[in-house]
Amino acid sequence: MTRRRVLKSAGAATAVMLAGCSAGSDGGGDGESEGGQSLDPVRERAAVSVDEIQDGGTLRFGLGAGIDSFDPSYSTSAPAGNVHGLVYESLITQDAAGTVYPWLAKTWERMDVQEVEDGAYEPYMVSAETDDDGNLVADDQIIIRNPEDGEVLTVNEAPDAVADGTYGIQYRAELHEGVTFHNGEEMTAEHVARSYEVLENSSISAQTFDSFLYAEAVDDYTVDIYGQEPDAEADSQLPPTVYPMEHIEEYPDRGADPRNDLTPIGTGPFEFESYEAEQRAQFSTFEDYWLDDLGLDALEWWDGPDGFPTSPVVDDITVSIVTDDATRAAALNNNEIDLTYGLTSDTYSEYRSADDYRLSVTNAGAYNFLQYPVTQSPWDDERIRRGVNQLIPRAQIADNIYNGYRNPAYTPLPELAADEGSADYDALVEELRPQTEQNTEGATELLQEAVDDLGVETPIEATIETNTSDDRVREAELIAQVMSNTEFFDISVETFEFTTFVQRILGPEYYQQGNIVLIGLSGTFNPGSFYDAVNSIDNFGQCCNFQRVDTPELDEIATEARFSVEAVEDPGFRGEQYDRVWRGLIEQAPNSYTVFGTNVSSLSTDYVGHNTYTFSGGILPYGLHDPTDQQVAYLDRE
Amino acid sequence: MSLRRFIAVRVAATVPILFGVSVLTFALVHLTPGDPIDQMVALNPQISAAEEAAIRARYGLDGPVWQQYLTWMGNVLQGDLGTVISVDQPVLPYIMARLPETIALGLFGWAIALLIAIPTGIYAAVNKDTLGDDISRVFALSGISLPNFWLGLMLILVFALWLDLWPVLAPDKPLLSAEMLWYLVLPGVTIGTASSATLMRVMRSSMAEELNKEYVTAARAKGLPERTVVLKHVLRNSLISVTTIAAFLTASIFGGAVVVEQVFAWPGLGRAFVGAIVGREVDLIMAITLFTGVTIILANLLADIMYAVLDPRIRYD
Repeated sequence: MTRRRVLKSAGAATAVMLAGCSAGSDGGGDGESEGGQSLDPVRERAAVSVDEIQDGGTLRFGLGAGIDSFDPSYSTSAPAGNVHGLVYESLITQDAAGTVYPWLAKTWERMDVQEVEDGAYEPYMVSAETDDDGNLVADDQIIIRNPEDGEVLTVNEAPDAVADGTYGIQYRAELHEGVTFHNGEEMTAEHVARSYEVLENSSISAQTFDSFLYAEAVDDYTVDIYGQEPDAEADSQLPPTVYPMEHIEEYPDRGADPRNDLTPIGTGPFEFESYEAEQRAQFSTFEDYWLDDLGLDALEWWDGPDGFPTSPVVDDITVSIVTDDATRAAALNNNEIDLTYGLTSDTYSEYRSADDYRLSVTNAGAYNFLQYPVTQSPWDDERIRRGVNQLIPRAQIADNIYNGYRNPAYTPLPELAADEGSADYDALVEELRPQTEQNTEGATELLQEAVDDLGVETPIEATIETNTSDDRVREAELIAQVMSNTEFFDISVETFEFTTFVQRILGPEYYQQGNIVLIGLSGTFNPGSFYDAVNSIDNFGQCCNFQRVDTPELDEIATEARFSVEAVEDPGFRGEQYDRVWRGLIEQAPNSYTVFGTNVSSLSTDYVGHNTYTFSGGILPYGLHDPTDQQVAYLDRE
Repeated sequence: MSLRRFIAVRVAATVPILFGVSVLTFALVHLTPGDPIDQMVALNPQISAAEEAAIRARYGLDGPVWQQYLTWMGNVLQGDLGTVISVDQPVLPYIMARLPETIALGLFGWAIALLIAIPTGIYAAVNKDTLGDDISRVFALSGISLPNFWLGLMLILVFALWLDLWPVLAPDKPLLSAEMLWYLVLPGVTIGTASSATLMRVMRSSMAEELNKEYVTAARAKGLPERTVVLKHVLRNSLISVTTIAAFLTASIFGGAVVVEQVFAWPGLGRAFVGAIVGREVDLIMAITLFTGVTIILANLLADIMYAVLDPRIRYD
């Protein structure tokens, strides 16, 4: 028995059924969502008894996509998150409902929030060059651009701004002492503050530097992190993946990846072992995992049962990369992998009914939406769009096309983000559902009124364009059929290979072509992710405002709901603001949200207790061990 | 013309061919909408237009196509095949890491094809217009007609899932191990079937033609055993056309690898090529295309040389 196993086994094994889904507490970084208690998005959560947990074994995970980078700072692929989560950790973690808990941080606390006046950062900015397209460029990571004056704020000037008290929000993390990286380094505040350097000028730097301003070590185990604006999502947006100095100082400007001969090193419960190109990656237990040493009581929010493991009980992980769905299903059926996700929905009934397999389903943050050509007649009339919104057979799409593994989107906000995205989600659904549930009579009235007023000749011809994903094509065809069954529309469907489609709809002139786009997108735990990408004018020409949707008053409310002192300090205000946004969206209907997604794991019953995380990048690490939901899974090969 | 000069002339002739292939491929890739940066932007709503432009410039995707081609060609001539953008890896090591797998699979497919085609072709020719000949021709027709991906999935279904004789995924063993050779049977059969069918038909017709020639009648008249006539005299002459066809089939072996590697999760160049096309990885597509082009040209050159070895009457004209 290894040292880690001894530590894990210490403590009374109490026969407690772990039902998962912790109740939150209160904000300020002790594991409570500020909006109240979240619903568990995991359907039929599997529970295990602590005294039945078996240690050891090798879990074989089938991943349906290649690993673009083993380093989260260089990865744009959601599936790769499954390997990042084994090796790397952050100051915070989020349970399946999105509640934030301190993780590498003992405490994670908001210290200050203040309004930032327009132009507040200008005194600290420096001149920048422009490229051929007129974009400001600099050698160092740009944080804020001021195109009018040709100036930028880079990471070099940010400390001066913070020193003068110019920032939007400040968080402080008190770190656990005794956390070690896989290379033996002890984690300190300096590691946290300097981990942002790894992200500078990486392909995903925008995800951090659109809100992060500066971080500094206060003492060995205290770090202050500043955001550019008062930001209600800062508690989950600001914390970095924490890297060892070996990586920060010695690794060249490339991801920590075996293909670069650079070993991924983190604080996580598994160490990287080996990688065979496009075939498999292997990980083994990290013997000096910090939570084994400190114990769960070091987590101030922990109130689970005695004997709950301090780390994953599985010893080794083999991640097999199998991109073909049919082959991955065959490997699962042939007992060559224990767990996978993302198989086609027509296989689900087979696994649901088989004795040796089961499905684990969780309501997720992905959504499909129709985006109308809002600048083109007659689609520039919101009555036409609202009419179509009432024609969409959401329940039929969810049940028949997706076999019940999607949820009808009766509001633009899924239950997943309801906590912070609505003052009263049930009331919101009740209010909006009559306008989004299929209602041919109501739609006919609206459409008739609109075409009479506009003098439009019917049927209105249009094309729904989507990418060649079987289920989505069927969804497009069903919507087209329902619309064409009325006297008002003659709708066709055209499909494109994904990259071709993306390039097409991102084109600057696409919005003038008069086509309707049907595409899917993944949101996050934050309500803004279900508005900004597809509605904000700031995202026109990029993901995912393709049709020049411009709803300035809603943009303003959505901004207020996230980037204001009041939104940060008063969750009630935030929810009310977002409720106004959702009502406005249904009223103006630039997009029709059709269904919200689920994540579905298919697994062998040898792997006991697995539950699926809300986002596909966390399915493997979350299932293995996550104290926030008292989640643990083990192998029973008997 | 000497053999050495013949090879030199043929090698020199490959240069304009490869240049043409490179121009055509580059043009085709750029005629297809989208590039890896588009995918990156689609997956990351936070990336602004300025950042997108910066990333595009970093990878040299911001200039006109002709300029991108000249840059690429200049880099290739200096031994730099470019970058696989999605994983930020240089192309050359990326290809070299996958090449052994594809070579192993290709050779195995070849072996399977030859093992099936030559005996079957001989049998069909010797037993022309019998039931056995009909069965072998049906087999050949099926082999050519069956899609590789379907055959691969069926083999997995029957031999891996129903009979439990093979694993679905490649074992964690060295490429040249007994376990790996056993594993290679199913993908090898899948990739070799179509080629074996073509080879078998050529073998049969070539052999049937030889069997009707006067030297065969003379050999039989001398009282040579039929086995000696067929295997010693007829087979060698029949192999001339088979050898030529076999070289051409190198292209179809690689084409098959593209599909078969996907079905069997085999980490070779074929699978990388599919990923490159989906992700519009220009440098990787170009590199694999050129590599394949060179391989096919070399295979044809080898076929011509083999042709001369097998038939001394042939001269390098």
